[in-house]
Amino acid sequence: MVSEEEVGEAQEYYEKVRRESRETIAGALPTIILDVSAAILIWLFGKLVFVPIAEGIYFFGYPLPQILNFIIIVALAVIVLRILIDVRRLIDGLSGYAACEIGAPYEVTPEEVEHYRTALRGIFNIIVVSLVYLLFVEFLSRIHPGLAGVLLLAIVIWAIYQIWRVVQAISAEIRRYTTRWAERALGGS
Amino acid sequence: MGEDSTLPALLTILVADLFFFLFFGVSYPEVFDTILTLLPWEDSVEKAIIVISGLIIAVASSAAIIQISIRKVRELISGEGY
Repeated sequence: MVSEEEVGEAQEYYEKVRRESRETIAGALPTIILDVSAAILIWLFGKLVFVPIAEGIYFFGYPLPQILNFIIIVALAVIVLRILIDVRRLIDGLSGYAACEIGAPYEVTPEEVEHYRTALRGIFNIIVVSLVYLLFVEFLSRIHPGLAGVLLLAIVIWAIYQIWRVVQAISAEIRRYTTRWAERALGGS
Repeated sequence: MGEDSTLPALLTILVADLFFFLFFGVSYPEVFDTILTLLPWEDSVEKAIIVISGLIIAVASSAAIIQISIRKVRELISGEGY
């Protein structure tokens, strides 16, 4: 039998996870949107305004488009790093919120939150890294065509590993739910 | 300069910078080249320095605008009691 104290603790943990998740999401989401806007803005004016002007110009022997691409890549890298840190915070918030919403009320455990966190982190990481690659691929190709190819290969291998981790985390949750369902079904008959 | 006037000032710098390069650099390059010939240094180096400075100004002003916007949004959110 579950004691009243244990129910109270579970309820307290549930409320804590829910409140912290909401605070994290509210803090991280606007920052991510603004940082993404900045990255898109810098990418756009780099690609549409400055790089076309720089075509055919040399700065002490170095082609100017390459120098500009390098400056744009450094600026984008700093912004993308900030975005990644905030995305991780957002995922932590979302995983807590998902555990509270999907799981039965007041039965959220740290293990369950961790499974959702692993699954969501994996999916978000794959999406974010793919988008970041698309953002950088043109500038990398201009520096050296091989760079984009090598990076793509590394991303594909890493994405497969991430998908495997996501499947492991989700299957652990499905296993937990089906076990509980079977226990209830067999206990009830 | 207060924070209220910093954001419009940065926006003006960014728009002016982009407008200058979009108008003279992309749409009317011959006018841009004429301006460069008036300067005392070699055209290629002048043009490179102007373009690099323009890009750095645009990147720095965009970063500053976003930084101030984020701070304002955070203040707004914390004011609402999240």
